[in-house]
Amino acid sequence: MNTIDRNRLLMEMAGINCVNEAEALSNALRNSPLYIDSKIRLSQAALSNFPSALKDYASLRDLDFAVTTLADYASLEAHILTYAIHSFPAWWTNPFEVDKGKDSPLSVGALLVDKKGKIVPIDNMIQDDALSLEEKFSIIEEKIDGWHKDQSQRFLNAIEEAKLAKNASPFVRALTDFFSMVLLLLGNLFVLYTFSNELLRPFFNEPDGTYLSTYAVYLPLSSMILYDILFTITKITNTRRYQGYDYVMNFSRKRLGKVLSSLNKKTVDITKYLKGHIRNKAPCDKDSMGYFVLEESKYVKGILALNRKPRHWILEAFFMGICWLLAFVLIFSLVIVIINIQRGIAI
Amino acid sequence: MSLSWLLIFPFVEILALSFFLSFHSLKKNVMSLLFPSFIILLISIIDRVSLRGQLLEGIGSAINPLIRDMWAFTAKDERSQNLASGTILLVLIFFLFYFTSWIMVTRLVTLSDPSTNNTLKKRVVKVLMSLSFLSLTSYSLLYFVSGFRAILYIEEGLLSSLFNWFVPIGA
Repeated sequence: MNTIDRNRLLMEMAGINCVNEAEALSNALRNSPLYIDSKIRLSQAALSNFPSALKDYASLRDLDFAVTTLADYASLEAHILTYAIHSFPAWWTNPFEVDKGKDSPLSVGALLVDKKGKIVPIDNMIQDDALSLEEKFSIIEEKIDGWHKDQSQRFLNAIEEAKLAKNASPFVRALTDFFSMVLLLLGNLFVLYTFSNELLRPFFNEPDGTYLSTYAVYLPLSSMILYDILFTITKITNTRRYQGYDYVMNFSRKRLGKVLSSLNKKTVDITKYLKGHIRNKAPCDKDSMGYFVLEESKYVKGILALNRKPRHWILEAFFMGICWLLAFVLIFSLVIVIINIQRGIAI
Repeated sequence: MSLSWLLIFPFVEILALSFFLSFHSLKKNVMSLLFPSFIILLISIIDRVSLRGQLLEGIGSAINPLIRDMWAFTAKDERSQNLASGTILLVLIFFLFYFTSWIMVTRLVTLSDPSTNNTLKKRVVKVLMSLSFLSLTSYSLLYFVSGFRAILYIEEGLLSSLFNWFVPIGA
């Protein structure tokens, strides 16, 4: 806002209508390089999936430019300036991250902190005599807490996102897998049984449609072949579809605790390091960004990159139908077998 | 008519599962199959090398009275019946160990990131696991079919020498 605009703001406060001016300024701001570049840079920051970067990007993108007063315009401009600062890699870069990007600073001292409303690099804040030791500690702790929250929240969000994807529940999947396996085993054994039964075996070699025993031999055999083929296809497609989900569940059960402990340790390390430099009023080392890298942070990309393949509804429905068909066919053949054994002659 | 042509179906299934299952599933399956397959391999080798089929027959003769009533199969002689009964027991033991191992493995195994499945190391590991799965399941299946063949009337035919290598009948 320049002097002319500030004068207009005063005129507006005195009761003069400045709608046209406010709209013209708002349009100019929307097309300004400041807004466009900030949006581009924040969209790059949002790719890191840090919650704070995502929030900043969403807030900047959703800003309402339909202002009717110069007071609203002034507020809008202040917001855009804040987001412009937040779009710099020195603001949103997380020292715990493995893959920081080419524009990120190499020293922790070059990262920006909010010093009572004034954005400065950590090194400048360290050497600022106007601030007390406690104030410096407080600023640094707040910033480190933000990095810690960003990193841990990113892990938890990625896992939560995977859990919320359209997947069958693990219990239903385990139950379906178990019963389909049991049906496979029982069905195949029953088909073997029909070959070994002396009353049914002749109908395999010489089928006779007037005897139910012919159907008792051939129906389980044909259903079983169909079931075997569908079981294999369903098993392959399902294991491929769910491998990402299984990995996330396995990760959250077996590795997440260790990763979060490791993150806590890194947080303690960086706090000690920065407090030491604040006490000694010494700038941070030039390559200090590499000291606190959380190696496990690379797993987030794996979780986020999971390929969620669509469910094969037609195949699943067909397989379910064949499961029931096979179950009925097996019961039918079993009844024939029992009657045959009781009578001692094939029907 | 020989029934051995029906073996095509399980073998095609095993081949498809070996090479098209996901990396994680293959890993869990191979780990679950290790113990039951080892038991079957041990029994078959001991039986073949030193006992000439006496072990499977011995197991079968102990369980035959129970199995015969449940299964109601017909066999040419007592030995075939005993071999079939022994094989049924081994099949049940195999699947019991397999399911138990599966439950343990799914709890204990640590899975790797599927987005890194295209690395050379993982590809080599997957091929090795596929071959392991193929050999473990094929060996067990052939052994079971060889034990069953007396009651399935497939002693004679193209694969008889192969079956006879696993479980010698008429030795």
